[in-house]
Amino acid sequence: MTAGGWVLMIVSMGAIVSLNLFCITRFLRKDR
Amino acid sequence: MADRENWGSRIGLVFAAAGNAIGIGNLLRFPGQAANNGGGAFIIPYLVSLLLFAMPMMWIAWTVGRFGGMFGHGSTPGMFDRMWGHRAAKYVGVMGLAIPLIFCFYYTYIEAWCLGYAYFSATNRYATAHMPTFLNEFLGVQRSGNYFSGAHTAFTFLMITLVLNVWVLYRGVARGIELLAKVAIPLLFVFCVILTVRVMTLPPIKGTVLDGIAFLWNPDFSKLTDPGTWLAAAGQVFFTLSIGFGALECYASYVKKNDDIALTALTTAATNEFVEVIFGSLIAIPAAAVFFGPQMIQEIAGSGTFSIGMVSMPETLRAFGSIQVFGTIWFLLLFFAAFTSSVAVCQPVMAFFQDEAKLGRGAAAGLIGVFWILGSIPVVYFMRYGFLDELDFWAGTLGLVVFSAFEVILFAWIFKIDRGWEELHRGSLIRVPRIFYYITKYVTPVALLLILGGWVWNDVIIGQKLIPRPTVNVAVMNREDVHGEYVRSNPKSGTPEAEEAGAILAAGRAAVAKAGRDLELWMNVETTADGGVRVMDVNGDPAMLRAMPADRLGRLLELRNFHYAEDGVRRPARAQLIVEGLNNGPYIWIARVIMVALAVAFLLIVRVIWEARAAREGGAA
Repeated sequence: MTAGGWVLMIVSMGAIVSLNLFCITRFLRKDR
Repeated sequence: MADRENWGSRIGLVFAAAGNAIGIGNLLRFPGQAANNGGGAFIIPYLVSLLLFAMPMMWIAWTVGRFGGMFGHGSTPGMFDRMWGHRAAKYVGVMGLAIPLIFCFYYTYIEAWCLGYAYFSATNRYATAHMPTFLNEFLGVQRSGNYFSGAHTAFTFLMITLVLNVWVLYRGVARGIELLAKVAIPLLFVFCVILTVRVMTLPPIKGTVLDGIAFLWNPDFSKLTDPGTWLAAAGQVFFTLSIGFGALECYASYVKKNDDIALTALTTAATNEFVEVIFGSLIAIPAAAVFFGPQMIQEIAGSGTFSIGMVSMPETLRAFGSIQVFGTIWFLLLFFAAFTSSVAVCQPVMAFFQDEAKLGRGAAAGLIGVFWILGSIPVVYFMRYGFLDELDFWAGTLGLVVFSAFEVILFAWIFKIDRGWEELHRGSLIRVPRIFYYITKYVTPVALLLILGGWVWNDVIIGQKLIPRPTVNVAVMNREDVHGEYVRSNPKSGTPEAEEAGAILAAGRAAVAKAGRDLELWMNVETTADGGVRVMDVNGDPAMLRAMPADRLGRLLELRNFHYAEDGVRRPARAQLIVEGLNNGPYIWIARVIMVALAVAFLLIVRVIWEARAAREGGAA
């Protein structure tokens, strides 16, 4: 796998995981 | 309005909305599209599409839905009527009834295949089967009779799936859809994790899992200059988020007036993307790379969404002796993903019958069940004539964009963006960044119209989609009687071999078109170890025999590298083949008539309901 492939994969997946964490924390903050 | 249902809990709503969005497309269509459109580079137009129109459309759909719900409307005729006030609005809203119902006619059938394959996996039914033939015969597309004698088995699974769907709809929003999502979504994640671990730990055969991941993520930036890549990415974002069906609007209509929708919409998209980009790229394609080798992935991905899921995935799992456990899990995963989507897509129609026609839950579900069965029967039995693809193109592809383009213009320019923005933020747990205000107002409508134009140009004008064409298929009939395997591969497109093969098939298609009916041939052929093919005898329709005589048929098989092999070694053999020339035209037109008739029926129902309502209100005044 090329460096470009790794970068695209890690950045894309990282962004999506971060977005999910953001949503979860916002929901939890409201519930608290 | 007090008798309208609401979601039981916020987590239930989020699960149901995620179930709405997560479907077969996440696990099969996304990796297929990425593999065909520049690998890792595909993610760039994909994420751009997500930001430029998918997220705005998500927020619009949720806002339109909650707004309509405040007035007791769960479907778009009522919602658009409230927002626009023009007498045409309710008729435009009929798109949000006809499109989802037509979509359900064929999507439930695909859902039923997954249920069927879960059963075949659990019972080890395809232990030695040739998987492409197994699938084609299961669907009745190919009548070579090795494993199934028609689509009756598939029809049985469709009936089971339909009953399950109608039962969930009948139980209602909180006790049906929400309960299903609370079970199915956690299960779906567990299944995804199990399969990811299984695939990631597969030992290499012809390739490694890393080969598959590399194939999906290594970027081919030259593809970014191809408008087709951008259209494919935009299309994928549409399908995956269930935009343009009226289903998101319907779910939002059951949200209370001051409950959040902005964060819920974002969470739905985030969860969907998690399954799509992460699990979607770590299961099916890496598994195919292990078993088939990296050089075959392009062909597998190019042969269609279902080939990845129903052919290459079971073949890989079979190679590791784990059909009964992992095969069953794989197909149950696809089934649950589809199940939570199909109930969601049909719910607007259910809501329409309940909210507008004032039918009881039982009557509404029963009526939908009748429509659903009647609409599904031709999908099953005319599938070989391209019936399903026809519905998918007009309703499930173009229809979604037309609906969305209208909805964004309604929201941003007729209802007015400022009012819409305020509506979106009432009770919201986040503030949507201001830039989306401008994107929604200016960029999204233009982007949607460009996509619509691109598809019409590509498929309708260049692809000449309006004119149905016959097809000619060649299939082996005696696969079950031999120890080895009959193999063939199509010549590479653009080569003289491909052109010659194309010309032979074109002669067959011309004969079918001239005759105006299906034409069939049966033949016995002899193959030699060095690649020769000799047609020993051929019988069937004289019109087809004149167009495709024995020597031409033999040449076609040679060009397709047709041979018999045992354990990878070519051996001389005999084979019985069937050549089916299918006269698709009448069936394609039946599909079109059904779509138009359904839309007209809904238009008339809307007219009657609104006139009766106006008369009642006039009388009361």
